[in-house]
Amino acid sequence: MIDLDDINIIALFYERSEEAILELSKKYGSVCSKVSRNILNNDRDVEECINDAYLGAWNSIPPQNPDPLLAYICRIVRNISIKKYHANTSQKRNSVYDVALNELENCIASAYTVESELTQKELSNLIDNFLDTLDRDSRVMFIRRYWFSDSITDIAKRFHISNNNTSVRLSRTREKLRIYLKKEGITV
Amino acid sequence: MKREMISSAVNDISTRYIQEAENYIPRTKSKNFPWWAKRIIPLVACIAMILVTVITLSDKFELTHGNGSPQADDYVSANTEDQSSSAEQAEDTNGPATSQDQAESTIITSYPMSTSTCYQQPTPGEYFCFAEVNAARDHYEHSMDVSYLLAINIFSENGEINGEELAAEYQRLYNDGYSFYEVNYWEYQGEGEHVEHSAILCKFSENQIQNFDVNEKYGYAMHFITNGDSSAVAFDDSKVIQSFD
Repeated sequence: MIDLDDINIIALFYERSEEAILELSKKYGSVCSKVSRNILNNDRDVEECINDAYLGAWNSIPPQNPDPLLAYICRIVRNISIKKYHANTSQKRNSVYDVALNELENCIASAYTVESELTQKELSNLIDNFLDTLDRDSRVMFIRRYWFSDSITDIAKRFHISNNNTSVRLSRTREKLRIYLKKEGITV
Repeated sequence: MKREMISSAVNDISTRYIQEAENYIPRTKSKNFPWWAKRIIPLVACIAMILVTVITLSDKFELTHGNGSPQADDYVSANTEDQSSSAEQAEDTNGPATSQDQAESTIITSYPMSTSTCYQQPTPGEYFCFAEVNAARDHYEHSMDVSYLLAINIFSENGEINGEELAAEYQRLYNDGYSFYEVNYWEYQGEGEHVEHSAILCKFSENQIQNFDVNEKYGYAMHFITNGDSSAVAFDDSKVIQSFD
């Protein structure tokens, strides 16, 4: 199987070739499925979200020319999956995403969205800046947990450390984030 | 509301972090050894270090005392005589060697070693070879087909003999079947100038060394003669000495 690089896949999108979806699926299908599954915890919903994400990519490329393609398609998958997660009121809140979100929630004051004029984009920029202050391992661990919604076990395996060690390190990073946001005027 | 805000904020983080997290390969942590291995490994390392030290010192001791073998590539300076008549070589290796049965053998004229050694003057009735001679003999596994071109220092109780007394002892050895040759060599003198000398060297077979015919009045020390730069002397079998009278 030929593994096309991102430029070739995007070129196929520009040519409006249906092979673009096939190649995209071959290269990033498993990553996208994992991101979605961590949020939705339901195979049928996952499949639906992945297909919607591919359709989203088909409709946005062109004019978009994403670089890197992986982050682009994963972000689409994540957005669609989260929408699905919130829309699906009957779904039990026991996905990895839900647990991860609970962990992160304590970093930010509950009243901030009402009282502060901080926008979502500004908060996102603050988190970006915070990530810059972390060492690489901690940063990747943080992203794996709170963006990819990986389970503690998966992260521990990836880093060849114990579950407990992973939990402790994530906990310390969250505490650093809390202090960082407090310094920036977001009080707990 | 707060949860959605956090989720959205995290969702919008920079693409480069997402890419990094997906492609990042963490350093592999070294394997955790069981507790007993953690204790044994340093112990084994210590023993290995001690062994290496002992072996190194042992080698050094042997070399200092002249029994060490030379390194593989720096040993031989040998003149090999014509092998065409080797079939005619005398077969008797147990009895006294003659100059004739030495004629077809390999002749060793030097055997460089990295260490120098001091020797005591041999007492009367005693003889020995310098370390490099013994090293060469060891290298050739005391083969009876190998000969050694050696100088002989002969000592009486009063010190090294020379003159007529030396000539008489050479003659005795010659009469016993030892072959002597005049050999030229050079030494450095002044500012790197070569000064030519000549020496009388004896061609010993292994058998002749092992069963050296000692005069009880004298002690003997056998060694190689080399040029000033440690190169081998040129051996010319036509310069054989027939008489010391």
